[in-house]
Amino acid sequence: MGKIFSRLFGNKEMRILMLGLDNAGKTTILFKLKMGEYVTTIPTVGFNVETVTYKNVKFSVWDVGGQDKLRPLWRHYYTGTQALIFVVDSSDRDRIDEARQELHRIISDREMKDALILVFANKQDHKDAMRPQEIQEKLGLTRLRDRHWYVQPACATSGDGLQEGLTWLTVNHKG
Amino acid sequence: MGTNEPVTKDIGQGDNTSLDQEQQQLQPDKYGFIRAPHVTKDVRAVESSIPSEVLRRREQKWRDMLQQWDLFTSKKFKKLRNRCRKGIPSSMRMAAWPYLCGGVFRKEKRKGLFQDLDSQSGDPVYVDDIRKDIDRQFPDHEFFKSEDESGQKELFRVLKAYSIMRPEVGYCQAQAPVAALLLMHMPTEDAFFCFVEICDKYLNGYYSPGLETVQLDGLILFGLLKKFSPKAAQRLNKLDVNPTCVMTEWFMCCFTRTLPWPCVLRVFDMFLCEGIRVLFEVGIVLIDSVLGSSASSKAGARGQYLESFEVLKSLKVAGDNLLEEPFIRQVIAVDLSREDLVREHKRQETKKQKEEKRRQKDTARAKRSI
Repeated sequence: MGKIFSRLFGNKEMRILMLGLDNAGKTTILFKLKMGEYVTTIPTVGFNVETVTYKNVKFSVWDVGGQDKLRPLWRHYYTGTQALIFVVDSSDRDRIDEARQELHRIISDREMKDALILVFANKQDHKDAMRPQEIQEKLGLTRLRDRHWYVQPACATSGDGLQEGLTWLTVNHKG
Repeated sequence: MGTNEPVTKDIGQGDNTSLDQEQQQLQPDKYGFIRAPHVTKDVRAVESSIPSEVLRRREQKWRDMLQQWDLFTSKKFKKLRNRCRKGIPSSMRMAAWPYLCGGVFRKEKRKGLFQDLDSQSGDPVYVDDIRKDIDRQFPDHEFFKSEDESGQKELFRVLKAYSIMRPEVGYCQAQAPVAALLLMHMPTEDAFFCFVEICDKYLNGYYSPGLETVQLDGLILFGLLKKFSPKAAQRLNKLDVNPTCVMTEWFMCCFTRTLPWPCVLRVFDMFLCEGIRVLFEVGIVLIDSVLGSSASSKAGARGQYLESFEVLKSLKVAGDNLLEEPFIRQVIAVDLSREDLVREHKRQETKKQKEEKRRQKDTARAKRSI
């Protein structure tokens, strides 16, 4: 019933899991998407979740704490995920390889194998930020052929790039 | 559980905020918060007021108890426990908490330990992690809000010292609010020793790599619901809501991120006296408040997915605006016994081992078929 209803009226729903290393800006992105403003955040230990409606799609966005100690908890949130938003601190060159490893660990999980992959190359406002092309290479996405992925430059505090990212999701989501 | 007492109060949101009130809001409340956490408006609406006469009497009792501590931790333990349940007077927490958790005794035994750790530079990875978090723990608390306040510096020192003392644990983000809570009440060195007791004894294994302990406790909590809130247990089962998602932050941060501050302090008073069972009791009360009554069960055409989403969301804010006194009474009323806890622990452990074995078999089979 729900499916027919949504097909008729174009209301789609999408479950999004937002992961990434600690201090990448996940929670800031979540609240910027939800409220349109920059909110100071505290380090996430469990999760935050919000629904955001954009272009007739109702996104439920799960933001889960990213410190290495807390990563064993990530898998509890995999089930039912339709898209992964992976947030990268573009100015953190030291940890881009750690980010690559985590990203590949997530997407190779059985429960995540059909998920779209949107990477927010966040903190583009930092002067030494890596550009999307460089991030794409360093995350090992260029050679990833059997998956839908996209790297979107973004700045969570100003909101730049966030809507474009959601647009990519709506276009590529086959609900 | 079956108590119908209201534990939340509607704290009118819609009224006009005059300039005067706004000014007042910039003044920290008596707990040091410029904006009280988990309370919609004014923390005074949730805290219970105790007549000053009673307070003075309680203070005297606590001073007497600390004089004859051994007696109260042995023969008169019940009295001590009941006084912790009634709430330790705020003036006495600084003295009482180190006794309750044993930090004061370790400090006595390990003189110079903190100074020694404090003088070391520490593992640069942990130090970097701690530094990144230090200004975003309690941004609304006067003691932690800016670099200039001593809170941030003290928090850094306590967390760094612990990461040097226990390199196998290092630093976990969930530790910071617990350390901060201690620092709001006592000098750095005392807070450090209490922190060590909590991490090593009360929550042993909670912050270690893999987080096995806390995940097992999640399963235990949900196993206990069958007895303490059968309706909630049934509904969570039906919705296939993952227990660990909700409780990790609750337990790992000792509810500092979940409850109005007056409740945080009361829970902590009890936790230091009675141990981890208090966290389970609080968890049961919170889950029961969201899912325990039949009225909250509106299953049907809305779809399982949406419903489980909303359930998790309401569990996340289940602590907001709780009224101190009725809430604490509910926690005590759960009356989780040691036996209950031990039994459920065994049950979940066996279950986990069985699953582990099955998983190993599955992987072995999968490998063979390749």
